[in-house]
Amino acid sequence: MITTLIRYFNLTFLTLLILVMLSFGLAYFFPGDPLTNLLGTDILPSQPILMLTSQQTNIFMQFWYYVQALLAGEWGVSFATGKPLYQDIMRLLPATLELSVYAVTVALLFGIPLGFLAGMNYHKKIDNIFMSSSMIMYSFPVFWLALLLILLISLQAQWLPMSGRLSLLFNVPHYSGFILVDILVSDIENKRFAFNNALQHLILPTLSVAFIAFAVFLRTTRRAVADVYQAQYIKSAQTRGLPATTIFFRHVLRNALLPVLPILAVQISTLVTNVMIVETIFSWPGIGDWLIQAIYERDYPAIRTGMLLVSVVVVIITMSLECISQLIDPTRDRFAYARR
Amino acid sequence: MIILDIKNLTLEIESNGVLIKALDKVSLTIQENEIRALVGESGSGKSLIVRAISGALPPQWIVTADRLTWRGQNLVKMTRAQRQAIMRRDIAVIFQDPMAALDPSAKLKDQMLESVPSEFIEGRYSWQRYASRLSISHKILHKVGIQNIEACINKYPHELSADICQKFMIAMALVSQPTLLIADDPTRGMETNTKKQILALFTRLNKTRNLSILFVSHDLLAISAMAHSMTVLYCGQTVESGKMKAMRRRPLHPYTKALMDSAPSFSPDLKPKSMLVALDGTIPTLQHLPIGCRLGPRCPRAAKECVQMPIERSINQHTYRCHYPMHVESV
Amino acid sequence: MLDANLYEEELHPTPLGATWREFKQRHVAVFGLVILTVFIVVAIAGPLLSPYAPTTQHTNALLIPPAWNDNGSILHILGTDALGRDMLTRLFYGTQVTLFSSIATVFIALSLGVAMGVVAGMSKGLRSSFINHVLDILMLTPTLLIAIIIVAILGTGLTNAMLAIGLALVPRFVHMTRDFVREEMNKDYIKTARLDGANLTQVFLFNILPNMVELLIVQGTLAISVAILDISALGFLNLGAQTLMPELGVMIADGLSTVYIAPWNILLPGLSIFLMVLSINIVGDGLRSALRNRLTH
Repeated sequence: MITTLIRYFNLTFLTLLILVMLSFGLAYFFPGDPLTNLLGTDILPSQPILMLTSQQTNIFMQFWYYVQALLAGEWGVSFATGKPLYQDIMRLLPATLELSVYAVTVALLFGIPLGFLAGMNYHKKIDNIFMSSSMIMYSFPVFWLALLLILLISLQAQWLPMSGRLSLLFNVPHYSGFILVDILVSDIENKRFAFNNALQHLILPTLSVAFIAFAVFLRTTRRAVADVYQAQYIKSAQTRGLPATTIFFRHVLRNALLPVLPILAVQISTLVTNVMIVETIFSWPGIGDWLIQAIYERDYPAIRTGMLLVSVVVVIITMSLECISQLIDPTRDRFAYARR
Repeated sequence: MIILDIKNLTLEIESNGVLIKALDKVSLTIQENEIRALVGESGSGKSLIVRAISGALPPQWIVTADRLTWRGQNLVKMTRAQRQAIMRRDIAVIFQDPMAALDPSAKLKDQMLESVPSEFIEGRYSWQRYASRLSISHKILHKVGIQNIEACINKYPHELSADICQKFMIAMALVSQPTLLIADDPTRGMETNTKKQILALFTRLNKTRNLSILFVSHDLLAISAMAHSMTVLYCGQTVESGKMKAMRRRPLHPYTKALMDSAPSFSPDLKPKSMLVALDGTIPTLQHLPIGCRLGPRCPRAAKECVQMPIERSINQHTYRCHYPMHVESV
Repeated sequence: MLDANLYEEELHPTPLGATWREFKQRHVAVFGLVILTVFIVVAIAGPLLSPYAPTTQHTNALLIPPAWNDNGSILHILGTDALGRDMLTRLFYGTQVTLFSSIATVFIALSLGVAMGVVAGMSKGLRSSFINHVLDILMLTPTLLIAIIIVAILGTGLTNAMLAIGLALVPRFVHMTRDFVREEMNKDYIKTARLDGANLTQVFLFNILPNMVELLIVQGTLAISVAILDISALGFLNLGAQTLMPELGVMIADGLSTVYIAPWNILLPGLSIFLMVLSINIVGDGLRSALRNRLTH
């Protein structure tokens, strides 16, 4: 167990290092002067960056100072706004995380149980209905789906707001960046209305992202459950006369969920892409919307830092999921090198 | 008294829109306190019979039988709960491949403990019941010949050898003290010593506990020493069944004869360096079964009538399906 | 006399033939294949059929609704957009651009991925682990991020979008190939071939590749649907194909400004993407289960 943990820690560390190197290299690939791309401006707030700019240091020393500056939270300054990137990103990241977490939760809450239902009725009517509808669901282009939702629900029916996180009427002080949490801990008037309003803003973006993720989870779970139910050891448990509930909880559940977790990990990067696209459509003030604005404005420091941060978050989440799935799966070959 | 009675069991599998009779009118009975061997080449449907009895068949396979009864109760028409109760207490099954038949993600201990029927467990509180389960498991594991129980019981199936896993399967089957044990080739791939132990255990249980055993195997040598009676299967048809002794002395069906002849130790008068007898041809595939007696094309005694399915005939509890049986004159 | 030919009438279909036989039995899959064929035919022949060019602006016919609407015109069966361009013509061209660029992307990514996967699967130690780690990072990075970086370095354009999506797809194929090759390399028939003196190239070409073809077809098909979704998404975000190009995602983005009065401008291109992806997914899924059934029978 400890070896697995150490191995994953190493792997994550190496991956992060390569990512930092990549982001450092990006400054040289982007058009324009590399140092300006790294820093954003000529303002030199503190020591590491000062060393970075001095032309005498070689590229390795520059990289070393770059890492130090990153760790110190000096991520450079945006071309477009002139503000430090650290503050911008710390304000935007929670919004993206919030959207992703809700979407994944919704997708999991519906996808896994319905997947079990479909898998237990393998090749029966209910399974076929689920399979064909999930096939239709994951064929939707996410941006088109979001537009359709806006067209139908926001414009046509006027049920839900079509953009932003919260109505401008409410002024919620920044606390954690998660809007629902912020509203709950704040002591503004009409807390209840603000909360409802934030929820209403959340529904459409969450649905658009969850819609597709749900279909994937449903299909994966259904496949795994169907496979387990056909396995010899379930038949053998049945012939031992164990009650169906015992078989389900003690044998089916674990074996079916084990292969689902790694697939969840692989899905994270797709999910992030979808979240970023949905953010731009709903003007959700998250990192995806911000990054795409940055590309329109050729804001290279912002692209570099945003890319680094998003990939770091994705890598850490994916690696932890993989690590957990490895730890709880006794049959996995612990000594297989690298990830499968 | 007959405990398991199977008459004309037919199992149909749909393949590419065609129904194939994987089992064709199989009949089999097991008396109380009897060891019956079920013999046939691989692919003859031995395991299918086992799975049909135990109910571990995919739902799309069609089972029909004139009789499939356990102590007079119809197993086919039974509700799930009733069947489950019988499987839990009266019938125990050991499958061929222990690695596939054990849950790969659960420790052997958990799988062992949950197999202990709740009637045997003493104590009121959960820890007492747990201790009781554990001690019962230890006893049975010791009986099947697992040496270091403590080391093995906390492992996952893939961490142990197939031999030990099979012993665990046997222990799980025996822990409910069944009346009938269906052993589907339990000693396949085992080393000789272990095999002998297991067979000895079965024989002992049969003598002391009145355990009836349906022993499925193709290892004639091992079976002939312990079995009381034998049923021979060819391509999903029962060709002959009767007392072991009678079958060995005077096989009535040409296939049984060929099967016996193919094992040299069964023919004491075999001359040194003589040819070993074997039937021509190979087992037909399921898609291309001959009509009538399925041995037909390979049978040395086949004639025109053999395209008709021979009816079951019986002489002195020795039943056979053949138009031209051997040794009939002398019986 | 009965001769040995008794069982000879047994048909031995080729593996691909058997897969096709399984596939044919799924009506939904065949239906998907028909839709896909229609799309391919439209993509090839559509531009020849249409009387207009995709960029012709009919200034006297702006935002005409589809022909079945009361205000529609038979001259523009599916209506026109804000610049008076014929919708049907643009859909033909858009299908062509989106479908063929996706297929090209997947094809290139597939060849590259398989090549690298074979190297990764057959090599051991440091080289294999290096390839694996670098690829894992690429695989973990969301497609949109890769696209943003590439656009930042090279600028926008369909080719750059294809490059980005190709880069994001390669690791999938590498993983798949590597796992497959690893598994096969441990099997006895490969060992037999090695003992016969075949070198790694020969083993791959004559033993592994034939076994892998079907897997590649299935995975390639499914990857095309991913590529279509991504290419149109990039076009929609104005990071891929540019406004003048009739790409389906770009068309949706163009239609956004007039969505209140002319919703068909975003509905129709979106519907084409959706149907295209759906039919590909159905075909891919049908192929996959046909393959699974063939192998289990």
